[in-house]
Amino acid sequence: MGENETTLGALASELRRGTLVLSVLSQLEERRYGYSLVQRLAERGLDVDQSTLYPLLRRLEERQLLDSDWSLEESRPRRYYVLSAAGRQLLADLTKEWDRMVEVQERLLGRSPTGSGTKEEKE
Amino acid sequence: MELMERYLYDIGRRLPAKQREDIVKELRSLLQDALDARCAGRAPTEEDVAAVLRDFGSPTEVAARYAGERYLIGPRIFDLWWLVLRIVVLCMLGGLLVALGVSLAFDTATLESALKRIADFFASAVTSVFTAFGYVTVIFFLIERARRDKGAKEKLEQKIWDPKDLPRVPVRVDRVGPVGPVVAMVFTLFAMWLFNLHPELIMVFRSLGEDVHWIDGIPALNPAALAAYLPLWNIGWIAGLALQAVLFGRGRWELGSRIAHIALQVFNIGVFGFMMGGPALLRPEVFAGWPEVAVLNDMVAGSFRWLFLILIVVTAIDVIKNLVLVVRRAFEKTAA
Repeated sequence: MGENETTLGALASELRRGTLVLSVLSQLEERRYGYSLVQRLAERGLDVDQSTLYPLLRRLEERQLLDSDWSLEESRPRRYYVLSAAGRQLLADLTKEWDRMVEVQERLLGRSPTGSGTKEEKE
Repeated sequence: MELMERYLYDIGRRLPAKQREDIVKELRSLLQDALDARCAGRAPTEEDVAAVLRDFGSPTEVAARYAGERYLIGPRIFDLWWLVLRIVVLCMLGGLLVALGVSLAFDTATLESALKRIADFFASAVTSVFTAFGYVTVIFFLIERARRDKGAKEKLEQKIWDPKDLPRVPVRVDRVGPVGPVVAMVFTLFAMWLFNLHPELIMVFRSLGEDVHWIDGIPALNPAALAAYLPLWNIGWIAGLALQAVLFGRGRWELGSRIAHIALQVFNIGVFGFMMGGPALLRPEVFAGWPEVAVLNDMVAGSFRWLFLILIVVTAIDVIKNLVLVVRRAFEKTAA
């Protein structure tokens, strides 16, 4: 039983890890700083480890998917991130990919009427 | 807030130098956001800070996430590697030192053979340090590889870490307290007074007879040597005084004072070299007719050559250390 739970935990976190970039990009159409992004994701049901999210933001910026700048207008300096043009494009592409995956998984799990329903939507 | 600075320092020292400052600045602001959220208006206590840090993760873990895994020895095991390396090197040097001591003690050594043993010691010390470094690093590299292949078992890292164990933020090497320069200036002034005005006070004392009722002192310095060396010493001392005064006033090492220090040390090396070849500093008769201290007599006859050699080596190490610091600071400046 215990072993099953840890297996579940490991696999579930792997699933989440796979979707993390999409989740993050989806919330950065407006500029946000790290902590506000954590809260925003949490409000929408996604609890992300802070020490995972912040390095990820930097890596996305390094790959020029995000732009960032220091804002000095508030009580303390904050680094804001926002989608770059490339990031916006990637978000659109990834979203399409996501839709396709959901569709496939739903079909595999037998939740949507096999074939017909989804095909009609596509047409 | 001191705890948070210690945490940030501990993360920072594990990050690549290029991104260090920026990442630490961002983390500071993020941690304060988390702290504000936790305290909701009231003043944060030490325990609040500790809780936020614990929640955030151990410095090793956080740094590893920023740094990625592109190291020979990754940040997760770096501390252990450094610890093991130091222990191994210390044990090897300790063993070699003991061996050297034993061989010197049980050998009726002439100065030459003793010197040769000491030279051998340094040679094998250098070799063994490099060997130890090689072996330890290869072993840790293999551990790192194995760890990475296993998908970096995070469990090991989830062991409880206590923010109270964070290292203190060290004072920068550049900073100079007031005590050091003052002590140095006092000793320099004392030496100047002694050697310039009362060189006769430097004596060798020996007890006469079985009962030490009185002791007999004879001036030890060789006047010819003193006449030759004193002007050089005075130049060094005055330059040293000026440097210490500047350090005392500014409270930190700067590019100028570092370069001045290097120049002064190079000058000192020159003086030591000159004294090695020049007239003996002590009068040859100081230890004469005194069989118990034949070794000292030999040393006087050899005008303390090996002593100057050691002084030169130590000074040269100091010069190299300072050169490295100058170059590093220059790089930091261009990077900033």
